[in-house]
Amino acid sequence: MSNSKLYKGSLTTIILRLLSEHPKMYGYEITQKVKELTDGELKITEGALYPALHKLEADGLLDVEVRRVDNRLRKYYKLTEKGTKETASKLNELERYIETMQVLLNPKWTT
Amino acid sequence: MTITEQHIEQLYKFTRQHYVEYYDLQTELVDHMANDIEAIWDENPHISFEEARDKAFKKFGVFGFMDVVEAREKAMHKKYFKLLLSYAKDWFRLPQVLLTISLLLGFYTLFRTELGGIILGVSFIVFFVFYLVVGVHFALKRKRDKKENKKVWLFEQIIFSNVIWWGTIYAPQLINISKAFDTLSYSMIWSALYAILITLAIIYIYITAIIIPKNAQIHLKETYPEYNM
Repeated sequence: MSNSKLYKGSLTTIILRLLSEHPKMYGYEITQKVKELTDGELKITEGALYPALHKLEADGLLDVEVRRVDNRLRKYYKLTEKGTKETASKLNELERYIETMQVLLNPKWTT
Repeated sequence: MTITEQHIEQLYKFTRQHYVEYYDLQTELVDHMANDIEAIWDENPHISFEEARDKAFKKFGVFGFMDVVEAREKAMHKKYFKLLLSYAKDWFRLPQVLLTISLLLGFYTLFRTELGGIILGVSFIVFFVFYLVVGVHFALKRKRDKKENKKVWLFEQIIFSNVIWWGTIYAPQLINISKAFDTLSYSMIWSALYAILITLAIIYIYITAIIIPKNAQIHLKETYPEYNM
């Protein structure tokens, strides 16, 4: 699926949505979850994921937690209160956009 | 197959070789690469660690870790700016606002006297010397840390680099500032403008070169949960 440009704009919403359903997630887990949920149709690239996560963290939408897992340190991301509010607004925004696109793609022609 | 302690060390080295200088970012990328290498091994257990590592690295694109590093630096500068603003706001609240007003009025009055030009010139020289001393102190500390192979934290770099660079940018301005000594008192408008400029410069220097570096440990612990791990 050639979707790089399409998903670029919605990457933030995808991340926020996933984190609203999980108490905390780490970067690799997010890439795998998206792959699993979309049956491999959508692949989040590493080069896009981390910049998006770091931006959300700097904007105060995500908080971080670090734990030692096996023999390495793992950085988990979780939503802040501000992030939870932003998720609702971003989802709403995306849903309205999808609805508009559907109207444009399937117009009901009047005779 | 699973990643060993030795592999983790090799991955840290790999990130350093690919221009990831900061420990905080290295840690996140090492964990990502390690997870991916383990997944690659699940599918193909016969390939070597190096082959699996290169396969995982390829997924970061042609620029490797560069995009991630750049975006992280941008995000951390934003965080620094927010921190600076939060400290600056305190200067416009009681009781500090009284000090801010006193500084403004004090400088305004001084610039209106015959010593106005000398005071302005001396103020700029004092700022420069201060930045030079603090900047050299931080630059030496960084050199020492590097020699001792201490971990490099991006936010710490931003805090101290800001002071080091200001001194360098400021130096050429001293030539223009020397003209100030030829001037006697300033008009009301120029006195007010210079009083605002000097007062803001004092607040800025105090926050960036004294307060934030002094509280650096607190902010680093807030930023990095792994700071003490």
